[in-house]
Amino acid sequence: MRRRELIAGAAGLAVAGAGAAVALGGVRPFGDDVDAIAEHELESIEAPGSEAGTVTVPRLGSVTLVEVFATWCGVCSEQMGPMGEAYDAVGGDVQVVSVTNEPLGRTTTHEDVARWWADHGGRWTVAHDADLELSRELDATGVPLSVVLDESNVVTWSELGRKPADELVAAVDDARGG
Amino acid sequence: MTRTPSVDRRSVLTALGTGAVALTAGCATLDPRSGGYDHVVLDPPEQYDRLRQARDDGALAHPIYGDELPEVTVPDVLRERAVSTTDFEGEAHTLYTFIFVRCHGACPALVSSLRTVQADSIDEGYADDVALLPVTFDPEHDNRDVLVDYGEDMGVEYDADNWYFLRPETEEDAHHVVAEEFGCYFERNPDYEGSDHDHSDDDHDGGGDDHDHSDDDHGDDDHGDDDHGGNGNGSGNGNGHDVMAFQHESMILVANAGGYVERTYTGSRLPSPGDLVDDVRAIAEGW
Repeated sequence: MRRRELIAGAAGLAVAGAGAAVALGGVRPFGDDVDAIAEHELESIEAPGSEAGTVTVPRLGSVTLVEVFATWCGVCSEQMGPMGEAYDAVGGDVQVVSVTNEPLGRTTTHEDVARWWADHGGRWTVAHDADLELSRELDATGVPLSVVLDESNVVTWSELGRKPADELVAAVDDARGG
Repeated sequence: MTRTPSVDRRSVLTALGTGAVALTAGCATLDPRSGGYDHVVLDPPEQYDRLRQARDDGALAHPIYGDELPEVTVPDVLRERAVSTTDFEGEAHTLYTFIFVRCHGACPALVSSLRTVQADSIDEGYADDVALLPVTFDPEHDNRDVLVDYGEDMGVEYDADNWYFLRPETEEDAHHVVAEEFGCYFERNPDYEGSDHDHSDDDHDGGGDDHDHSDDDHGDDDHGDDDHGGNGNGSGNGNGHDVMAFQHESMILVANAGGYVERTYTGSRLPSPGDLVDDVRAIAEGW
C-alpha cells in the first residue's frame, strides 16, 4: 500500500515536473534505457600531447576513455599516472581525453591547466568543458570521474575516484567487445 | 488508509503545476508554508511527495523544498563579522554547503560547485544576487588563514564580494548550526589518528535512506590530498582507505532571496556543476 503510493506519487511527479526531472536527472548511464551521449565539441588546450583547437568528445565510431578532472583536485593528480599507463596501453584506435570542468579564464587560466598537465606527465588530449554540458551528461558530480563509452557513445563504465590503470584498460577492452 | 492515492496525487500535482496552494495529503498539520508554493521559483524536486512526507514525519533532518531556512548566525571569517541567514532576505539567493578543509573526499567538489556558480554569476552579471556560503564544522583546524588559502586554491574570487566562509567558533556551535539547524550530519571519526585500518562504511550510518556517506559516494578517499590545508593524514599506503577526521553528509542547499529552500542536494543525489548553475540561473531569472 505504502509502496504503491510512493510509486504513484513519483510517477506523477515525473510527468508534472518534467522540466525539473530533466534538469535534475540528466542521462543515467546505467538506467533502463541506454542512451548514447551526444558528441560535444570542446576546446582543446595547448599542452604536452595536446594541441589548441577543438576536439569532439566522445567520438562516434571509436571507443572513448574520458576523464573529468580539475586542477585543484589532489586525487586527480594521482590519477594521472594510471591514466598515462592506460593511454600507452590501449592503442591509437581509442580516444583518450581528459576534460577539466573548472571555470577557466579567471583565477584559473588555460596556462595553469597546461602547467598542471606538464607537471603531472600529461601526454594526450586535454580539453575544457566550458559549458558544463558534457559533465552534466556524464553525471560528473565529482572528480576524478573516469568514463568509458563504446563506439556508439553509450557509457559502458563510469567510476568516481582513483582507479588503477588495469581497471581502465579492462573497461576499454570490454567496450570494444573484448 | 482508504483514500485513493492516485487521484489525490494527481489533483495535488495539478495544483502544483499551476502554482496554486497545494499540500500533500496527510501532512498538512506540520507544513510551515503558510502561503503554499508562491515562495519558491523552481518546480518541486524529483520525488518531492516522498521527501515531504519524510520531512514532516521527522525522518529528514534537513530542510527541503518549500521550507524556511533555519535562522542562524555564524561568524564570517572574510568580513570578520557575524552573518545571519536572514541577512540575505530580500538581498540575495543563497547556497550553503558544509565542509572541513582537511577533507579530501567530497568537500572539494562541494566547494568547487559553489565556485562554479560564483564564476557564472560574475560572467552573467548576477553576482550581487547570489551569495555562496560554505560552512566549516571543524573550527579547531579551519581558522581564517586556512579557509582563505583553501578558497584561493579552489579558485574562489573574493573580489566579487559574494563568497563567505562561515566558521562557528566552537565545534559545539558547529553541531548546533550544521547538524541541528541545517540537519547536515557530521561526526568526528573515532578511527582517525593513530589508526590506518579500513573503516567500515556502515559504522556510522545515521539511519534513513537519505543519509548517504558523502565521501564514500565519491570513492576517492584512497589518498590524502595534502594540497589543501596540509592535513596530516599521510598518503603513503597504496591501497588503504585513509580515515578522515570527520564522517559527514554531503549537502548543498539552495535557497531563494525570500529565505525559502529551493533545492537540498544530498549524498548520491548531488548535482553536476552545470545542474547547480541551472538552478541558480532559474531562481535568479524567475525571482
